[in-house]
Amino acid sequence: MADRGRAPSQVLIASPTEERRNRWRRALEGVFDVEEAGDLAVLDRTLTALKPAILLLDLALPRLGGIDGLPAVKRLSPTTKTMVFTGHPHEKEGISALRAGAMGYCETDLDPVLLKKAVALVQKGEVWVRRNFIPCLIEELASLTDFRQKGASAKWVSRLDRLTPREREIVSMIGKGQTNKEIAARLRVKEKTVKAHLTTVFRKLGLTGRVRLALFINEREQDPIASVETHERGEMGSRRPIRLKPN
Amino acid sequence: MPPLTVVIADAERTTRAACRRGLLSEKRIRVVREARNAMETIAAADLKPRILLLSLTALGGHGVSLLPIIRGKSPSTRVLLLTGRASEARILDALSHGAQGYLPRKILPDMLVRAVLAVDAGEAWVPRKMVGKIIERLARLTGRARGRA
Repeated sequence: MADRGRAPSQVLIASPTEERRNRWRRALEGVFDVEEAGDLAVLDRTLTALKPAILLLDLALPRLGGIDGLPAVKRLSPTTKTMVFTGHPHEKEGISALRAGAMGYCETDLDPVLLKKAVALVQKGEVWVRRNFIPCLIEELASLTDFRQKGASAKWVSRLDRLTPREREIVSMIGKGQTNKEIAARLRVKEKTVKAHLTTVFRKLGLTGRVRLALFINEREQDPIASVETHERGEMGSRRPIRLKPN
Repeated sequence: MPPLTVVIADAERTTRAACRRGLLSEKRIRVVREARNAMETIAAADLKPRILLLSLTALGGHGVSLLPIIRGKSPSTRVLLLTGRASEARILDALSHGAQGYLPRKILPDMLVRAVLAVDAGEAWVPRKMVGKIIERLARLTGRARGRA
């Protein structure tokens, strides 16, 4: 970012409440060059004219339409970093705001010292949210990721058909993290028998290594023994095996 | 008050020892298992520890892949990653798969108790700088899910 000497960054405060505008101004004056807008029309004009570095946007601004008004604001001045303020913060709205490009999601009565810190951080390019909001973001990320991955495992179902019942038993136990020794003891066979089975299993499934096998099994979220039995039961009365199409 | 159970999963003995040292100061915390590799970590999930300290790279590179397994076996376990040279993308992957935070190994044993207690209390242990990256990835994922840019 080009440094134009010591000129303080411009912050535009947009709130319908004069008391709030004054409070925010007092918190930031001296460090930032503060402008104000009391309604949407003034906000739009000032944004277009000044293109301030930062916008403090009170969601209560009439005719803004809350979060839905963010894209329009962004269009008027794409370089302006917008921090959204609300009297009633809640997770879904916060996530929507951040996804819509807001650089901050805060309470309107944020402590002035914290406000100054938050604005400074946003100016540096960081995102400001309350500390206990971060787990929500991570949860949201995790749930979206889960959703996208569920589709991928279906293609593996047919591969288990190739295994004998004994092989499936062993595979199920590997999925639980058991060692060859433990498996041998449970099945009452020699350890080298388990190893021989495993070699065959790796070949049949096209996998190398027990860790990959364990991951494969667990990714499918099903017990390999039960799932194939269900599959086979579905084939009763039909001659051709049913193959699930890979995604 | 019930003990705060912890499993330490890292191939490096020195790291596991540093974790133990770091956790000594908090009486509530009880290390119930040390796992030295991926398979042992999977098995340790059956103990359903409250916290799993999981090496992202020092488990044969399987760190991230283990997360869905652990989540499936013990949904109440909260994962705190131990990172070394892991890239930001790798860390983001891990967070996307259910880790609740991360701690660079070189900081051990300091901060470990604070991080463990915070994660136990439901907080995420990530530096603020990571928040922007999380949002970026969220935006990308949503874009694809909706089918438009």
